[in-house]
Amino acid sequence: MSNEITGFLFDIYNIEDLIYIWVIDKNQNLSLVKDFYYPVIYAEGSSQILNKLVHRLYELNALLREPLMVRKKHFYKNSLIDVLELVISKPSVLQKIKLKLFAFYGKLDIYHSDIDPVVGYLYSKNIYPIAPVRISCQKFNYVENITATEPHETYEYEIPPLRTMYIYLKHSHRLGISKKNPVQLVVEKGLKKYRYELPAQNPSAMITSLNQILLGENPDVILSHYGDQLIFPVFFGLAQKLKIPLNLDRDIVPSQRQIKLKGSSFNTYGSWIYRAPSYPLFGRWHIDAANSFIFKESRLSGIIELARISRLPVQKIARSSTGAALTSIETGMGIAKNYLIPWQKSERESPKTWYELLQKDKGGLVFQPQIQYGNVAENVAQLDFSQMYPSIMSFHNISPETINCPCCAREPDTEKVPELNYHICKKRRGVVSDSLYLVLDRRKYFKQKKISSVGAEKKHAEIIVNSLKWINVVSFGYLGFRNAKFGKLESHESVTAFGRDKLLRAMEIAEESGFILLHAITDCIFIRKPDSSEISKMDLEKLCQTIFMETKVEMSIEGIFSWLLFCPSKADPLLPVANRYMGRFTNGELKIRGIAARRKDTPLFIKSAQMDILKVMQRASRIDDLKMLHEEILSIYLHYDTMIEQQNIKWRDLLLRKTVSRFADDYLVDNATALAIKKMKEKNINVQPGEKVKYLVTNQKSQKKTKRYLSEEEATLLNCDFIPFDVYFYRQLWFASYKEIWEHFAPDGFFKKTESELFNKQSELPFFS
Amino acid sequence: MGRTVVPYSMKMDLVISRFEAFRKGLRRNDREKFDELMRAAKIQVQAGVMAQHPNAFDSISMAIHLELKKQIDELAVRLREMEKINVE
Repeated sequence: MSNEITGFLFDIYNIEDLIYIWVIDKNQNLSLVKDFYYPVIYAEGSSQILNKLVHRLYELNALLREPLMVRKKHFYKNSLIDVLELVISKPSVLQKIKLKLFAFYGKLDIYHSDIDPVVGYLYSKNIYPIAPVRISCQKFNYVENITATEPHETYEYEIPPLRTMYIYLKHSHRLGISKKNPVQLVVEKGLKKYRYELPAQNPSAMITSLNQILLGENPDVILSHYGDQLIFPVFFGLAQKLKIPLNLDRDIVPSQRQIKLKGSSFNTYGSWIYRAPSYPLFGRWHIDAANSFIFKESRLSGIIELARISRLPVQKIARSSTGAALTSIETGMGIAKNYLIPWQKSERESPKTWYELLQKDKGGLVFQPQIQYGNVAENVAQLDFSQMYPSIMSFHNISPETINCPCCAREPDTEKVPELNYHICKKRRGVVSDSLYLVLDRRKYFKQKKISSVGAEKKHAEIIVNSLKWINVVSFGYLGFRNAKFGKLESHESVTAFGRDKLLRAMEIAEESGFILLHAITDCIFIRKPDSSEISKMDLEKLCQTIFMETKVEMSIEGIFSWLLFCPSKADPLLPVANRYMGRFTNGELKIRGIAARRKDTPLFIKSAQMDILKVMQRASRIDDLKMLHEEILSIYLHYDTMIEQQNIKWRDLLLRKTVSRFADDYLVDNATALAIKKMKEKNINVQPGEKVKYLVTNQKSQKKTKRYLSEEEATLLNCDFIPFDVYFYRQLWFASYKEIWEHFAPDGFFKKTESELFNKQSELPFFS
Repeated sequence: MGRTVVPYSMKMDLVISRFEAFRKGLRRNDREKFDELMRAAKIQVQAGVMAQHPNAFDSISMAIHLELKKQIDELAVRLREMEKINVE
């Protein structure tokens, strides 16, 4: 006799061929059901090699049934080929195959082999994380049938009520768990918050106490801060050592977890990234806010949205990059189109001469700000192409298999990529272009909803728009990324070629309409009238419409600046830079890019002081009005300068933040970061490349290097709010931030005169009298 | 994969650094003029990106010529205006 379960697919994982599915209903009741899943992979190669593969799989007892020769569609060639279909009885074998893929290169092509069994199961049943599901079960809760009652493309969906618990440390995670730095837990019930603190002095009591709280509160979601990097490995390690069963998992896990405190560091495109170890739970979600880019950007709702559309389980997507979500969406699209899904390595770049490379491998176009008449301008309009690159990919059908495809090589009237002359397939829509169409369409719906709704609905729509934005952001880069499953350099080059073409066309149309181009960055243009007179919104809307008609990419008005400042280059003040500007829109809002208040490494004190000046500047709608504010702005500067001089600032507000690029011993030059992490190492605090450190400048010019900087962790241990700091350094920093935004509005020569006086003669401030 | 050729903006810096010794051999005032010419090339970076000449100096040189032509034209306009005032 079968029983039926309805609810939301909450958690899903596999142990070999057994899939475990947790279902939660609207009353927060949980059920666990099980199903079997046998992944199907396809192999193409000589019969000798295929025989060897089959033989090895039989030896491993990994084949469910006899292999079959079938005809399937090749992703790049767009033609049917003969492949061997292998049904795998032990999904763990796929991992071994994945590791051998490089060795097989050129001899054997294996398809579908790197699709995670859980994701494969979700695709095979057409279900997805958080889907409303109806399940009929046999004896012992084995699934007979499972269906989603809503398609995964649904815009509006229900999320079941979830009990959330927050876990974090009182101070920095680098200080470890101790009596001074205990683990704290918070559970929200309605408007009330219940707080717990685990007794850190006694490990056994700490684990027992945690177990009791978990039993009492039974959270569905644990949101931690540094749970992956420190708290959970410590909990699991202690539980194993003390032999106390831990209640963090809801399921009884058959194997013990490996305890890892060290994460991994890797360098990508010039910057170091740190990834903490991973501690997902079974039957309960653990999301580490410090180890989840998607959570940082778009909270839990964003994670759920991306889990639904990519079919990656919630805990997996939380720890993945947005690129992983995109790849999974594309994989689903490839499966839906009946393609053989290639493995990780994407199609090779076609051979080119050096001259061809030079001509074809260009990036986006940037017009440096025109500052020949000064760094400030009035009545400047900024027009943005909406989601330019993904729109190009979707509209022009750009995908790895559609650029220079063999199926249209002899077709006379295929669309050609500007400048490059590559042809685009006209027989089929690409996997990447169709995947992006779905994302763009969804984002458009929520963008519209963001405008038309209020309160919680508006907030939710904002979060979804932001989470989908990141998929669009990475979509272009992934076409050229060496590890992307669906990528090919020619398709990457085609996107930028279309981008340059459309930007230049937009500039021409604006110029034909009587505007002057002041500045342009890849997908936006800054324009003004020749006499800098006011621009009507209607004229701009007409211009946007003309540009849209010509380029087929939507262009919208970002805003009209009453005044706009292009900050000069720090290396050469007579040169402009593309990414540092600030201005006031005619509606009174400010837009700032690249200045101290926006930078992540700026101390909070400097950020908030610069913002205070910006708030005053916001009042002025003309450059002449701004200049009249000089005295008021000077008084703000002096107010904060006095605070620094009197050391009247909490140390936390003065911390600078840097990304570590080496291990402590590998630094050759003793810069601030090196000195800070070397001191931390002496205290047994190890920092890996890619991690962030914060430090206070205590005495930058000290002969003793150890006296120059104090890390956040060392400062915390001093247990006080005020610590003496390097007044000269912070005054200089504040002066630079003041000058950055006010230099071009202050009376002539003001900064030139005062800067040297101020820092050559520290005891006196030059413009006080 | 990824970018396989040096971006034009970086090539421009390489070309300018090749002229470091040349710049050193100039008088102070001339050095300032030299820097102004290089600045003129940097301001037209997008045209160099579009052209991608095998020798980046081709684009640098053209950008400098363009800037000089603009200055000559501006001076010509001012000169005509001054001449007009004198005639009147």
